[in-house]
Amino acid sequence: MSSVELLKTAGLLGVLVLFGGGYGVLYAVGRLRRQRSWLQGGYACYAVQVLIAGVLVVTSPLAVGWKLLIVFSVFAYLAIPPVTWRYLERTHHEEGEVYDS
Amino acid sequence: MYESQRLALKYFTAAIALFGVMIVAGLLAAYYYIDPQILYNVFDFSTAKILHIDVLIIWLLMGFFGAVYWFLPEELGQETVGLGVAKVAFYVLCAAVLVVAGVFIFVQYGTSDEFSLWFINQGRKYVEAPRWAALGITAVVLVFMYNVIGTALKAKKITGVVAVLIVDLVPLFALYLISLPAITNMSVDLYWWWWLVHMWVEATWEVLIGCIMALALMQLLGTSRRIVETWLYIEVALVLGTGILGLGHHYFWIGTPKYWLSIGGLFSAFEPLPLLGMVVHAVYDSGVHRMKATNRPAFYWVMAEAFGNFIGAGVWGFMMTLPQINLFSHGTQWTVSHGHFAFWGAYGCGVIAVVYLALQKSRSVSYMDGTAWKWSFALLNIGLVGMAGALLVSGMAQAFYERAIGGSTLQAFIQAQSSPWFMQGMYARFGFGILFAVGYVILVYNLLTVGRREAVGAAVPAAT
Repeated sequence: MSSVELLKTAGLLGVLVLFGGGYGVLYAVGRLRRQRSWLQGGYACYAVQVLIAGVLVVTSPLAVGWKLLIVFSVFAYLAIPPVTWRYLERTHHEEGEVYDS
Repeated sequence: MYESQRLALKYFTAAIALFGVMIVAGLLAAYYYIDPQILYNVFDFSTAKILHIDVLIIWLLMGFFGAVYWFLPEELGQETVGLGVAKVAFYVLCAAVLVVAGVFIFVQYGTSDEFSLWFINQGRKYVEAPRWAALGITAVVLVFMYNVIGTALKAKKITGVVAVLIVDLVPLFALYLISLPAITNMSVDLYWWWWLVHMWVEATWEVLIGCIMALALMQLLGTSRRIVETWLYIEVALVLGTGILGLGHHYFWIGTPKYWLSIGGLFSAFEPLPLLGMVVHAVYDSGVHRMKATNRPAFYWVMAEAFGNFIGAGVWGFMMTLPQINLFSHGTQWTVSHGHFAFWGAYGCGVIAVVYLALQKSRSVSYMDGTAWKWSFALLNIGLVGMAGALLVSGMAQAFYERAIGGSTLQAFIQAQSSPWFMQGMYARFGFGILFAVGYVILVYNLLTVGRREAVGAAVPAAT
């Protein structure tokens, strides 16, 4: 790995997770406020995350196994916020703690 | 108030005082990079660094102990068992910390013999405390275990949170024993040393802070036990599932078999995923309670914990955890940047939140708010993010110039250390360190005065 590739790849890996977090936060705020604009912001973050994953897969000198891991993790990022949210709503609903926007 | 909670307040006082010592030592260590001649032959950089990182461990540990002594009697409806010995252990621990700090400052180092191991410095990062002090810490942890288990037995009651806590205390104690042997084979020594350092920080401490946060959320937001315990089980399972074998990312370059590259890279790449779930959970809780609680500083510090943990451990960690990147980044300021952010997010913010919760009750304040805590919250977090960012720039410069271009030679190391990118990062780190220190001073002022001079009896917004 060259010096430039090193910084580019590491930076992209960090930003990949950051946009995953951005998706999670905006998705949650969107569900909380029941506003589509926040949800759309979340999906936009996720789209950027997919794009970054694509750039990493196509251009980075990472080994194939790590590239597959990145692809897998992008799918995991997609699922975690809605699954977590659904479970949160269910457990809170069962305990009578319902969020009313 | 339970007697156990009075002991907790003592632990919190000691923890916050040591937090200050850590900052002073950190500022000094940071300044050596700007002026390496300062205190030359008087007080070495290595000693300042030892103080900085060892005190980090001790103040957080004291914060955890304090938190458990605070919540345990309320959780079990029973005064903590063995408080007499617990108080002795507290004073023994404080005295040991003072003596060890004195030896580090005034003696600093010794010859390579058993005497140095026993009375000056064991020489392994994070567990430099001489062997007598390490044995003392072991005894204190044993007393702590006795307090928790004994209280549960006497109360004839066990809750989900306390059960997880008790299970966690066993490895917490057992792993610390690794600090005692002096293994001469460096690979073998590092292999086991990482069990202690990684398994404490990314496994047993994660579970411990998970239990503490579960108890804090019940008190802070009135969240139901079932919700808190369900999430504790899920998050502990996920954190342990990824964190235990994530140990492998420390085994890349210490002479261990090659398969650790795959195991370490794979499991540490999964580590941000449960943290993302925690962030979503934090947003949900903040929405349910509309960012309002009867203790606003504690609430904001709990939120900072979730976000700081995700960014510090998740984003910063993933940037450098794959072996192909880690080959260049390990042991540089890049790692230091990750360490600062992750420790702060995962543990520092949580301990501060619990201190505010304890003060609210001990001072009988119905609604805790004010202005000073907001300044300390902002300055500490901006200072920390600034330090982490500055260290990242310096670390990337090291990885770029020293490792990738220079091939990790001594000459490349020296050249990288004098590159403008590295130096500017060091200046910025020191500046943000000063900001962080100002935030600490305001935090101490606020902890001393909050509830005494402001907001007592103020209108209590409804915490939904």
